[in-house]
Amino acid sequence: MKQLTALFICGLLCHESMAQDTTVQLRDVVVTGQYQQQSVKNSVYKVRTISSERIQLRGATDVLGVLNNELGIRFSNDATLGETDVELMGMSGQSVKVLLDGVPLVDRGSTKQSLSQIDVNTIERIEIVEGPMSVIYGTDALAGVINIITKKRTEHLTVTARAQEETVGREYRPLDGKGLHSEHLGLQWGNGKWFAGGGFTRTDFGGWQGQFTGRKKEWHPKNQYLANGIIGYGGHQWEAWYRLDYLDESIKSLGDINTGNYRSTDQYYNTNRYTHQLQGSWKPTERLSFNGALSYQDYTRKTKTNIKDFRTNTETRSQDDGAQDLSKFNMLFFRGTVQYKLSDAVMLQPGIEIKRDGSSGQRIEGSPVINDYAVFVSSELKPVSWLNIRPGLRFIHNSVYSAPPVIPSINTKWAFNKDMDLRVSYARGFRAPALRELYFYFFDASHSIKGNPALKAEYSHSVNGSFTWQALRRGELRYTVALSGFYNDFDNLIDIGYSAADPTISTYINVNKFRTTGGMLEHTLSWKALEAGVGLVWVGRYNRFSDDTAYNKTTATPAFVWTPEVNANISYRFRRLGATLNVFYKYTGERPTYELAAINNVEVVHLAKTAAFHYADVTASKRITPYLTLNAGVKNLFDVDRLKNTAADAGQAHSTGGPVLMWYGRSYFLGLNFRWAKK
Amino acid sequence: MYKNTKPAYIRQSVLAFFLAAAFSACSNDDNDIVPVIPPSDGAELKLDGGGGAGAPNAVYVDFSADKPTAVPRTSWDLGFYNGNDFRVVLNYTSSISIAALAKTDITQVDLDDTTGISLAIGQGQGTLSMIDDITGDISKTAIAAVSATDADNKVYLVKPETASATDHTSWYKIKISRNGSGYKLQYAKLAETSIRTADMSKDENFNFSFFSLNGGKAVAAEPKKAEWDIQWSYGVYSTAFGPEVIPYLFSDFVYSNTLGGVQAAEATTADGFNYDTFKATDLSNTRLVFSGARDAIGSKWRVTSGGTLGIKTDRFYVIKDGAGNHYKLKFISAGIGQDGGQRGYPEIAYKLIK
Repeated sequence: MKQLTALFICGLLCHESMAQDTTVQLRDVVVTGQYQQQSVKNSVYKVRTISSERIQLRGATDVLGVLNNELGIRFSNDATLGETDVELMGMSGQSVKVLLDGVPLVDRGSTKQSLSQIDVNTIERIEIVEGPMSVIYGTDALAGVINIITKKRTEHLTVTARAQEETVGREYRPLDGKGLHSEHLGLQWGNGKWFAGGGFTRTDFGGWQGQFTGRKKEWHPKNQYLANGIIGYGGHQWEAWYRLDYLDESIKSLGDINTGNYRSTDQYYNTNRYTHQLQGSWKPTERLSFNGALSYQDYTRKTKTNIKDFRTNTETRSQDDGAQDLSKFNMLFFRGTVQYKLSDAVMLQPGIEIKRDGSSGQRIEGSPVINDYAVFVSSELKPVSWLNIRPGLRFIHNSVYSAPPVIPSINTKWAFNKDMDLRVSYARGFRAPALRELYFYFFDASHSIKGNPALKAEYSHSVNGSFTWQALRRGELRYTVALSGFYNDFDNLIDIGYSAADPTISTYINVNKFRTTGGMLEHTLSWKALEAGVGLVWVGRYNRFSDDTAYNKTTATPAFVWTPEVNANISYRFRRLGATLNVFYKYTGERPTYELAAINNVEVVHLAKTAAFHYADVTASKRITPYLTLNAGVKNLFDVDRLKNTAADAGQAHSTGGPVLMWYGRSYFLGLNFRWAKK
Repeated sequence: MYKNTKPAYIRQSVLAFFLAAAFSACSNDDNDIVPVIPPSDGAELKLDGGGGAGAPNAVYVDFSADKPTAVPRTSWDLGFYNGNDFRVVLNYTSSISIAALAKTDITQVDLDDTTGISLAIGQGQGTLSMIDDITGDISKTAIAAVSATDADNKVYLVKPETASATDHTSWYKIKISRNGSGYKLQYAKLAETSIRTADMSKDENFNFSFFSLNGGKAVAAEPKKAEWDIQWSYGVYSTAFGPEVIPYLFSDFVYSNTLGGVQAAEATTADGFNYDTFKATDLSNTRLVFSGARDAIGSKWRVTSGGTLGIKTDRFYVIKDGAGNHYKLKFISAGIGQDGGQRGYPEIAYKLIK
């Protein structure tokens, strides 16, 4: 309780209360997959956006803290490494493309840690597109794309600062690192053609002890330093900017003291990331424009394992295999597109993409380099004013694996009237084999696993449809309803299997099939000071046993297992007070999975279930001076930490039985946001 | 409305902001725990496995002599039983695998005889028929009892750990016969036509007499049968693989000296046992169940995959050696999880129960 009192002392320092209007700008402009900036309504893709205001209202300290109540998004946490992967519409992170201003971010494995390594304070908005966007964005964009758009141009000098103190479950102490502490300072400047900006953020997460004792924690402490800078120049016809994002992340996994030898094994994971990008656009005529993005990314991750001896108070480096490692990844990326308007009815976008990935480190054979070259073209056809058809093709050549020769897509948008839009699309998606799948190398006493350079790409056929109806638009009242559905069929999925050449070696092979399907219903309502959204999604994931004749004889199982999700977001703005009150809620239903389990020494198909859970944040913000806003709230109101999981522990290697760690219980936060702009 | 007081707001805002920032800025102190360390309470040994999950050495431990003996674990392939029966065991501290042929004349065996035979073992491959009984029952060896009628003794294909599952020329062919009170071994690489012979006599001081196929000679490996109690090594055991039970190679496996009369019992805190307070009167506790099987301790003392990794701290073992002495044994570290140890160099503590 002492900790909480300390937390709220900050609140008392800021006793002023002033009335000030906060107007939330409804930014409905999107860029993901577009030829040029486009309104959400006119986009041929159905794009979800999350604004920076939403990020602030949620008191989020990383991107995951914003995405966690989005429909169709689910997290899975790796407690050993202290990392989180994201799942979109039933597909894991390796099928989700993460972009920073349209540029893909490097990740070392199949999990998308990059999402939690972006400075949340620099985000203008997040755009999410479900369904494949492989024609323009290439590999990994099967389940969808999460594009993070950063703040760029301002007309004036703007200073922003933020400090937030948060408990981690019941753990908080202002002085010893327990809890979550985040500070940010940002500057933006613009003067005529020039603009520049920079920011620095530190987020210190103290970890969570959970069920462990002593020094050991269930959630590992994590400390992030994030810095970024941008400089740009542009006039009427052209614009260019350079941006650098830097990350220094350290995750600490201390072992408990072994009372047998008074030693402990402590692990440290340190990640450094430099993301350079240079982007430009040139529009010489009304009909013609060029866009280019060049990026170089450098990612290193150092693993350090120390053995600490408490008798002698010394630390030595562990000599075990894999205890010390330096893994390096780098990527050079270029995408260039030309937008050419042939007539009012026909627009063309040809483009090229060049990508070079390099890597070295533990469990990677050699220092492989992969070069990927792609040419793509799409066009936007408007034969009549209410119809928009966008066919597209992508041709790929890869230096290592045999890439799919061509990836097609066709998106259509039918505007029935000014309030009703129907979008129907078919697309192929693909995922190139990752570096680790091509060049993995892990041989020890119980593993003989080798990458397979003969892998083919995973690919999908996807059909998406959505119907958006702005049902009410009267004065300050707006009500929109959207109904959508999807069906994805994935083939050639890469999994571990035996090498045909040498059955004693495991390798990656194209073997699995997967399907996802589902439907979503979203309502958004805006009326005076009230904004509300209620959504429902039903995600079906393929059950591989349904088509397996061997198991179907004994146990017939359905083709899909379904998980429902419901979310509700309510925001109310007290204009006179300059305050908001917000509720962010999400229900995630039970997640069933059919698995093989040996029960009483008989192998059966067993239905395992991960429990349903409710997640809710209640937050409030209040402008206390013209420059300072206080926000506070409760996160994870329902106090969820781990989810019950009935997976049978079949006693096999790498069993996944047992409860699933999801969160760390109910937390409280208090934050101050400072913003000053020169008029 | 704000005009007159604007500077004050700025000052307050900035002040409040920096106070909040200062509050959290110095929060990363690492005040580590300083434990109270009691004096040593008995014999402790660090076994020289040579490092790694597939450590190169097998280590025999003789509690009564406080003596560990490290032996390269693949230094032998076949162990000729020195007891009354005529039996030959395979090196259980390696991934050696074997298959019987119908042929009994070793000169008639060549690469063609591998048709339909796989000797791949481990990583989900292999069957229990390729290895000896995993509990160490000498009457259930993969090689049939050596018959006095030599026409009954079959030829076997052998793949030592160092050989390749796919390169059949790296395999051996062997035939074992009786030779008076001892054995005669005929062996050669599978493609070779000149057959080599070795005579193995019985020495009752030892459980087995050992032979190395690669070395082409008899070798010393195990200490005398009365001079070891347990053996720590990487070695073969079994696991469930779907509906089947298949051979699986375990790191840190602990074998009892079954043939030397050693028995072991697991004592758990759930059953009310405590390592520090365990004494002679506890030996009669009915919850303490002694087993003479080779895998009585096995891999039960640690968790290497799934949930929380490491040594199970809720249990220890009581060992009865061939001479009738009782020892209590606990595992301290093995480099698993975060136990402060090093993989392949396990630390154990044991004490004579008086």
